[in-house]
Amino acid sequence: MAEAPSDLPHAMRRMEADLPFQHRSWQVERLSWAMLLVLVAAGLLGIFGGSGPLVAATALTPDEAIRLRYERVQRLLLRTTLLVELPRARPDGQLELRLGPEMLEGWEIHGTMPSAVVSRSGSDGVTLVFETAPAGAGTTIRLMVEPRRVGVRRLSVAAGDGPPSRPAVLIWP
Amino acid sequence: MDSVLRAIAMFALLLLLFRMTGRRTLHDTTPFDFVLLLIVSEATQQAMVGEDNSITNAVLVISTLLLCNVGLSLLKIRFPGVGRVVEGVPTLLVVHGRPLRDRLARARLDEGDVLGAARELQGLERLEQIRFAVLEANGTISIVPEPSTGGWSASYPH
Repeated sequence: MAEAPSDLPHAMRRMEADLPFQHRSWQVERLSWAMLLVLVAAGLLGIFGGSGPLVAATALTPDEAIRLRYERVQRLLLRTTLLVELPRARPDGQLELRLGPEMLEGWEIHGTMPSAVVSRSGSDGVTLVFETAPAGAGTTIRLMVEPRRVGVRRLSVAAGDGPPSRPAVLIWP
Repeated sequence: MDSVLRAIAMFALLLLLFRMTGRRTLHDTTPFDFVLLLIVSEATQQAMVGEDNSITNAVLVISTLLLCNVGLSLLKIRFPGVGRVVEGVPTLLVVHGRPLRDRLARARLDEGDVLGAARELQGLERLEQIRFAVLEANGTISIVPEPSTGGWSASYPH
């Protein structure tokens, strides 16, 4: 590389003494550009939530009564929709959803579509009752939720008294 | 508390990002850079304020940012190393009319940028008329003309 001559005035010599630092700065700068590129690529993939191929996920309750479609990566205060699907028909025409306390701590429920006909709270969370068509296969309930806590949190959704599905969700600040 | 923490986080993040992208970023104020700056400020504002648009929150956020800025300037005075890391150091680009091409390339500059600064500040036309050209820590190019040209020392925000 081209070097400055040694017969420089004092001020310029002092400047040249800082050259190794400047070289390290340039190296860090180039490394930072690569990091920015990785950051943007990760954003496109959905690693930071919002949208992207890695965001969408599904989970079944252990008894396979309901299937959840959710975003495995979310952002604080960014509202998202949690889809609750009934793979099988329920003859009584009703669906009882139980949202566990751990989910209620991490998310604020902003509404459901359709609206719940009954909602009650207890020590095991909140229970919402929906009316479905008698041959309710393929029924989908939409829960509009908003993450309120940062970190890895677990959803907790169960059908009636059944075991809950508890998929982990990463919430970015 | 949330607003204060958000403002501190955004201050640190912006400082880091602008340092990462290099000195040229904010001093090349082309119209596009100006628009980019506006978009950055808009995105930053959303992240800092969140859903709270109250005057109280705005006062808190602004006070935090100003305090961070004052704190950083005090740190730079107390610890000169902080200033070097945060702002960088001046770098010689041209010595006695000879461009130091490797440095120019690393600083994302070319001879045209140096000549532009020399022309505007000193009315110089050729590199040989430049004694020293320095990329300052604040992103300006300073020009010291060769004594025979009869110019004076000045700096140019490139």
